[in-house]
Amino acid sequence: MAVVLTLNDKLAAIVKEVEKLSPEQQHLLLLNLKKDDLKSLYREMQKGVRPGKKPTDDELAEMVRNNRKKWKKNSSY
Amino acid sequence: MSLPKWCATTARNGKKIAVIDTCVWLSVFISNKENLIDLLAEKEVLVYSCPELQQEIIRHLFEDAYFRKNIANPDKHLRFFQETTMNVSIDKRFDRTADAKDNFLFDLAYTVKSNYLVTSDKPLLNMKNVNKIHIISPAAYFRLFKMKW
Repeated sequence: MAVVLTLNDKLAAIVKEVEKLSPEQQHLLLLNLKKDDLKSLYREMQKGVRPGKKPTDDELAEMVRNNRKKWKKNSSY
Repeated sequence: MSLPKWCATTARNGKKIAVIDTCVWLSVFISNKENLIDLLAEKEVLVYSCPELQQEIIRHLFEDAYFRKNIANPDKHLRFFQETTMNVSIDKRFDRTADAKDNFLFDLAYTVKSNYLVTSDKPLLNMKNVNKIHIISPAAYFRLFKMKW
């Protein structure tokens, strides 16, 4: 006799499988599932960035290096 | 009911675990680097962060004059960073960088057993390798996956 799975049965089975995954695997699964949402979020982010000339990667690295010096004087690092 | 095959094989796979330096994240924020999402989602790259790295990202987004002036929605950028990285606590033990303020990046790489530290910072790139950690530019890291930065 054929077993008919309801949507709830199928969801429960999926949840059970996901729970077996490590946190890293769950994170990757989530990234894969929400890729389109992340792309939408990224495009939203870009709308808030002022247009015009951007610092190069070298200039950003220099900026971070200078800020590390400025901000981390009192930290344990 | 089965999950995608990659679920069983991807974690702890050499080049697929990375630590990304703040300067590279900032470049992702202000330039069009949507490729990063494909790298994470399609090539199954695990990118780790730690509270120290997150704090540095927050300070740049909310305190640095350039970013305050040029990014109107820093909360969205922070959310993107948080959703795309795995946050872990680090053991503070590395002390071999020329600038001690960079040590947390190596501590993070050691903690998560990452073989790649991705940065645009010249002094770090000049170190090339520290034990099993390859210090590599974003363009070179993307090339490992046949992708463009």
